[in-house]
Amino acid sequence: MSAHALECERITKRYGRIAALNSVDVSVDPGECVAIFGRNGAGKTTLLHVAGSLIRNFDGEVRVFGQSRGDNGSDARRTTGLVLHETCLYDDLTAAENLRFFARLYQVSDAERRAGDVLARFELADRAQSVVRTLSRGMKQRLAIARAMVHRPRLLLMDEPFTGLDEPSSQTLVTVLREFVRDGGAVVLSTHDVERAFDVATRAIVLERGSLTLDRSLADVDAAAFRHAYWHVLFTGTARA
Amino acid sequence: MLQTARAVLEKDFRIELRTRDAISAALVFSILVLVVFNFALDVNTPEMRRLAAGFFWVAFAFAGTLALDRSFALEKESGAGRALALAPVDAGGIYLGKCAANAAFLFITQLVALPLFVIFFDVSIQRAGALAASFALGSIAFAAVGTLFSAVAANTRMRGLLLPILFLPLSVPALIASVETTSFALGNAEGPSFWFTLLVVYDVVFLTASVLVFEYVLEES
Repeated sequence: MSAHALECERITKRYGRIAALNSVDVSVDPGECVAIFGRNGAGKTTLLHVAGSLIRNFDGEVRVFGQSRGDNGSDARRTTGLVLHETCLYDDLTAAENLRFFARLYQVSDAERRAGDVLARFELADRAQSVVRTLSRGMKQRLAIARAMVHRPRLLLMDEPFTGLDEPSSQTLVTVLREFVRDGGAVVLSTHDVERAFDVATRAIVLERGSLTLDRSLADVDAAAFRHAYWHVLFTGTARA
Repeated sequence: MLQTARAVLEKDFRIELRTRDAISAALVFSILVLVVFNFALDVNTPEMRRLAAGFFWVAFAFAGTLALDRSFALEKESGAGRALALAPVDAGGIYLGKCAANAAFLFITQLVALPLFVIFFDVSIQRAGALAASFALGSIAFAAVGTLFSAVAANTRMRGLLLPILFLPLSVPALIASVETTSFALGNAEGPSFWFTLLVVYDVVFLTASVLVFEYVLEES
């Protein structure tokens, strides 16, 4: 049994002649938060979709806590939470109804209480009975993240989670993710915001045209140095030695 | 599977109670068709009364398509269906929940449209139990096939066009059986056992087959 929370081996995904991902190898351990950087179309979202089983037709192997995604195992699904560009919420249900519904699907034993706790954690308790359609973009984003965490996943895959969040909400998310990682969870998030990623990520990878061009621990690197290296990749397509 | 089905059923009912999209669309359409039939045809003749059940089910078949089209459209909005498909649950449970909700919406639409149908076509209900059974079994038949194809069509760009093309031809046996059993309930036909049996068999076959294949439909969503 693998100790990795997520293992992606030689992942290749093609759309016609274009390789969205080209033999990408990434592994993420429990207690790690990996930030994926890259230009638009670099393959960040595709990698998250492959890791989260949203894309099933690809070459390579994805394992979550040792279980192959190819097995379509419910354990792998139960341990994963996904935040996508779309909110994945029912617009005509209230915030609380959405969370209770997904908690029930994941057979969360204390669905009612858990939904309330997660709403409170993301500062949405006062809007629990509001229909999602009436929430602001930032509130919907917070609720989308709450939905992804309502079943207590051990692996979080997040596609640009800071999008639409104001500064206090971003700080709340950073705090929640730090606690999640400290408690042994694993996070993979895509972002364009180097400073924000440095608040929470322990490692960064850079994708360029579907290939992994940089994989670096952030423990011994400051944001300015990393930004410099990242920009070098963006503008030259190659990592510095 | 049943827990999942119940959760999905309750969710769809809650949304329908809040929006009334499916029932109101189907109801308005079926009433419009009945009104058109009433004015276009001389319905107050014995011959027309014998055909009344056919008019009712024709109106309902097209109106039901509107309700079924809505079924998976709401899963597509904001990508909620993706989260649903990724949940660690039996896909058959999701199908059964959606199907039960659709069958209930169709049945409610029929019950609401029934008084207008009785007035417009000047028919009397001779066997209320048979009519209820006809409506219930017919609604389940339409929902069983329609829910499956609604999910298939929702994944395409031609959703509104594709659903009736896929759904209506397959529902013809159920439509004929429903017309015959409703005719029996109105006192215009005899010997309904074959048609009731056909409806029951149709429901069981399509419910079972759809539960088994729904996982593959969800994978494509």
